[in-house]
Amino acid sequence: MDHILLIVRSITQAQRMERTLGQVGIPSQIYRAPAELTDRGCGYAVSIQSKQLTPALRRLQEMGLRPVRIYQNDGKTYKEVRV
Amino acid sequence: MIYFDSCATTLEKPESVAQAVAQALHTMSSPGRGHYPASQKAEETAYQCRAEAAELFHVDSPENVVFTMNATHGLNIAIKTLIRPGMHVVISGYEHNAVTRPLHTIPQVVVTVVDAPPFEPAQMLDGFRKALAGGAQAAICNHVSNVFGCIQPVEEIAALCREFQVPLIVDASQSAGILPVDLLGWGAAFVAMPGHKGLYGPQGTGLLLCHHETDTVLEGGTGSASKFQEMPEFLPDRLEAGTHNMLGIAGLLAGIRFVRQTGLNAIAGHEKDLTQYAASLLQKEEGLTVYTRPGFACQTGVLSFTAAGHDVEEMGEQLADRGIAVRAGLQCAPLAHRTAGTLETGTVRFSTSYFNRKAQVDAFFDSVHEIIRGNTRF
Repeated sequence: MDHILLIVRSITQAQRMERTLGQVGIPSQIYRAPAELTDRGCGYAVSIQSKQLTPALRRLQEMGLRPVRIYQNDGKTYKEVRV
Repeated sequence: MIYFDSCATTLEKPESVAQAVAQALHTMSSPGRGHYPASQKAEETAYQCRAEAAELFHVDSPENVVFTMNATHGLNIAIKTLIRPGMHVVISGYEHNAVTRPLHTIPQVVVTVVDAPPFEPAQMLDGFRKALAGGAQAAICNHVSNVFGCIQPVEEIAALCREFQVPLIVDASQSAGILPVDLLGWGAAFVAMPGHKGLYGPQGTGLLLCHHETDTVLEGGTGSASKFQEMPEFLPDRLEAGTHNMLGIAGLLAGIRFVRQTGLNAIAGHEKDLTQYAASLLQKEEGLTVYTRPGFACQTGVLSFTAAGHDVEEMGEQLADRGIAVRAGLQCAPLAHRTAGTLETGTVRFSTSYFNRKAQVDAFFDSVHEIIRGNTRF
């Protein structure tokens, strides 16, 4: 299923994002970041539905949170999203 | 045993703390190390502990709440981040060795010690004002003295530090869980605290609240940015190398919840009432010097005393023989004793927790009386 991965720098930041998004009704899930998506090793990702990207980023910005990178997954490949 | 050494470690913990520790032993691995239930449970517990501590101590983000082994560990990080060789530092005359020993390791540091008698916050504040105006580049102050229980004017000292744009480190070892601790309101660079005293967590836990960039004192695995040999630049990972003490963190979370549910006012009020009562009994006893002030205005549940003709360590042992636990000697704070004029004798320190009761204070006093007079009170 089409979804967005917000790559974050730590598990703590991922948890903070998950809760921040949950407060405004945007469901998300935390995953270990796929190795191919992080050039730093051992990262975390917060997954949201693609249609939630804009409100999610707005809410995260309000709370001073910024993902390191953003990827869209169509079920097969990851494509970086530039915002 | 009747325990009056909570200044060192609270011995009686809420039952929820013991349960949380036991549960963690069997269910939690390490946070940030895997996507399986035992790691996720540890992640959830660690995050919740940071988040609830951030709320209690007014930290802007859970990420700025760092787990440490104890307050000493946190103070070492804070001091070694801020203080460089040759810098001028102002400290209160009531600092613990956890502050003075790390400072002692930094070459050519110039330390101005603000001497003021215990329970004289205005004099302490005036001393900080003069030292800051004289060019001090960093300030360190404990919130409450671990020897005398005197409450320092930290809020006012923090305001001075902001005025002079000098970073402040607060040692909240004796106040966390008892008095309001306000990292953002104070504008302090760091606040360090143990988990095992007023927060009722297990030994081996502590928190460093950060509002400043940090240097590391320990390097290693963090479960993040693993390709690089440099420690991550972001908190809390930057300061949390190695496997987390999840038993401790789970217990600390339960302890913080106990404190929040009970309320700081209820805890502080209870401890103060007991200690004021103890002071009133001790002050009636001839030959005792009790370090307190009428009205108990700026004192927590900590009380020091000496007995003429009685060595404090012997008094501590004799009390222990009667089932009363107190701390005697210099309490790892020779500077505080020097400032108060008790360096040569030390003191016997009585310190309370929320779990002490008035009848225990009576039993403590009966024992003191018995030791001094060689007979019982009644």
